[in-house]
Amino acid sequence: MTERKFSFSHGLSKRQLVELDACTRCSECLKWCPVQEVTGRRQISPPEKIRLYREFIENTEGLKARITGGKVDRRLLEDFVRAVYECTTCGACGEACEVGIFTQRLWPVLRRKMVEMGLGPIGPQANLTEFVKKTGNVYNKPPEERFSWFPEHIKVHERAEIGYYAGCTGCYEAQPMVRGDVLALHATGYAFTMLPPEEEVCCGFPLFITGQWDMLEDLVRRLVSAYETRGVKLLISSCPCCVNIMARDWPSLYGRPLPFKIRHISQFIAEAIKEKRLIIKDHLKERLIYHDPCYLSRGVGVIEEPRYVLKSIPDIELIEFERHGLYSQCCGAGGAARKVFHENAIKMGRLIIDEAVEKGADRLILSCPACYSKMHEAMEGYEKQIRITDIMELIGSLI
Amino acid sequence: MSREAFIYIPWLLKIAFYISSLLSLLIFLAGLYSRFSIWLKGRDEPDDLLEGKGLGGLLLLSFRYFFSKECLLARRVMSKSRIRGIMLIFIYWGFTILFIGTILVGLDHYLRLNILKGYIYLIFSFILDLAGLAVFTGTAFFIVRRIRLSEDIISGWDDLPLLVLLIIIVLSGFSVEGLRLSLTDPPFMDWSPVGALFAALFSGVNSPKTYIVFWCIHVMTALSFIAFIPFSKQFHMFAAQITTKDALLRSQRLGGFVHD
Repeated sequence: MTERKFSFSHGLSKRQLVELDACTRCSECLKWCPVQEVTGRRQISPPEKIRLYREFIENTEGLKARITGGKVDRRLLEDFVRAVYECTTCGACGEACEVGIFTQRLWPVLRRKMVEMGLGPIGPQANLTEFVKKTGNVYNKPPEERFSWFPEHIKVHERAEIGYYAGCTGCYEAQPMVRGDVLALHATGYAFTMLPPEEEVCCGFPLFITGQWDMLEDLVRRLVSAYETRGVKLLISSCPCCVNIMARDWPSLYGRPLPFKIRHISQFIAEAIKEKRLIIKDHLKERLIYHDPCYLSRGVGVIEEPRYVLKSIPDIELIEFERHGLYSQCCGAGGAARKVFHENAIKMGRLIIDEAVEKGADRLILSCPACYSKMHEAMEGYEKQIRITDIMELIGSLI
Repeated sequence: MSREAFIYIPWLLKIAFYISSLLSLLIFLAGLYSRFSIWLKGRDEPDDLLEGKGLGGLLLLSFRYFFSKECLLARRVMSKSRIRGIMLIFIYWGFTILFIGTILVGLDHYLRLNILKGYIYLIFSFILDLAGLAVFTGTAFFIVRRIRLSEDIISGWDDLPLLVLLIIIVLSGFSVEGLRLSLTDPPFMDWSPVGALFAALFSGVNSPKTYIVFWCIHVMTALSFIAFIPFSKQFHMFAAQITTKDALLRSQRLGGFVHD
């Protein structure tokens, strides 16, 4: 039993506390939850997590706690920890939610509470803070290898209004993708700057999503100051998770508005194509299927821009998954769950591959380094095969 | 053409009714305060609907959005499923109308306003009858859904019992109305079509005693339900309209990538 001293409500926003009370357990979210799809375990479903957490609050705070003494069953807490960490935080449940609960934001906050209680993070997630402290990235890789993929013929300016943040996952796990970013950026003719490898540290997202928030302010201050010093007015990244935390949380972690705007690279390249600064001349007679990353579509609402970029390629045919846009299906890489619940992630990735193959796509197009890495992994040793390419990797190869 | 309040109800039962009502209201208010107090423990987020809101502000916001277009038309639910949206509207509108109707009856009786008479009373009766029917239809739908999909959906201990309690309230209400009509046999029965149907059902057993039994069931279930609201999932009636509004604002902000 856990005593009353710990406040389950402390640290949650008013909106999140209201959200816990708003769930009607209609269970419509279950149809959209990727973890449900591959495990079928109702205990880890969104309404059950909300029900349990609401019970923790009611049992320790308020009228019921005064009457019953205010204790929480430790076993229930452990079940909850597993449920909240097995989730990929993709937010599909929130999109399907009939009362509009913002789950993509609620789950990380509840993970944060588990970290406060000493019950999270779980498995290898627990090493992330130490890795970031030591190497600046969550993969514990040497910083000097960070930009090993960088095309030598491209010049990075010391100062420029456009800054490019490559991100840890792109640099260490999805190098063709970030290479494509740089080629596409270069092709627009704009001068851009980057931080040196030892200064381009983690954006904070993996720590945020696993509930380990202690280092966040420091990381954000370091990055924002470094880009500001280089005169950056527009910061571009291809990683939806990085873009998400930069756009949504950096201002509050920094303590004031950012001195620059944030854009996903597909937004920037779509603009460049519209302005004819970037013309894709090479033809590609292929059937492409585009997968919306959860933190790009549901996270920051970037849905049309990647499609605009793809449709600008002469001769391509663009087809859609059944679940696309705001309702896109998680590839399994989300929420750092792939680091612990590997099998779930592989199954989720294979569901995407299955559909892409069934629809007769020649190529599966991604725009997220975590998806890129996980989908390649999911295809290893799998009977169904499809060519996987990042959107900027493709653009980079056609210009 | 009007309606006599507390017809057939002996004075002792009337007193029991007033005491139970007060008790139910006190439990409801204590629960409401307890739940809202937990909301107030939350931190403020910039540009949030709830930023800086105290107890009164939260109550007002909840009340205001209860009557927002989003809520009145159950837009979010409707966009996901037409049938569930319609059934939710039935329950939402039905209950709201019944609640307002009950208050009007109370005001008319205690303040001796004498407004519920003639055609106004007939129209009032008709609307309340339809509202009851709407609540019945919606509740029955969700009961069937919860039973039919029991393997596929998450249910807390209170989900099904609460819906059953709701349907008992509605059915006992119609029974009370039917028995009253059957016993008094007024000339304007057509204006209460569901009540008239129940009057026909009770035609063989329409004694004041039966009336009192059903009246007691109706009162007890209704007052229990009110007291239970803040301690059950039904509390979503204070929360869901806020989250729905918040989701709408969030989706509007997303389109323009707001972070500039």
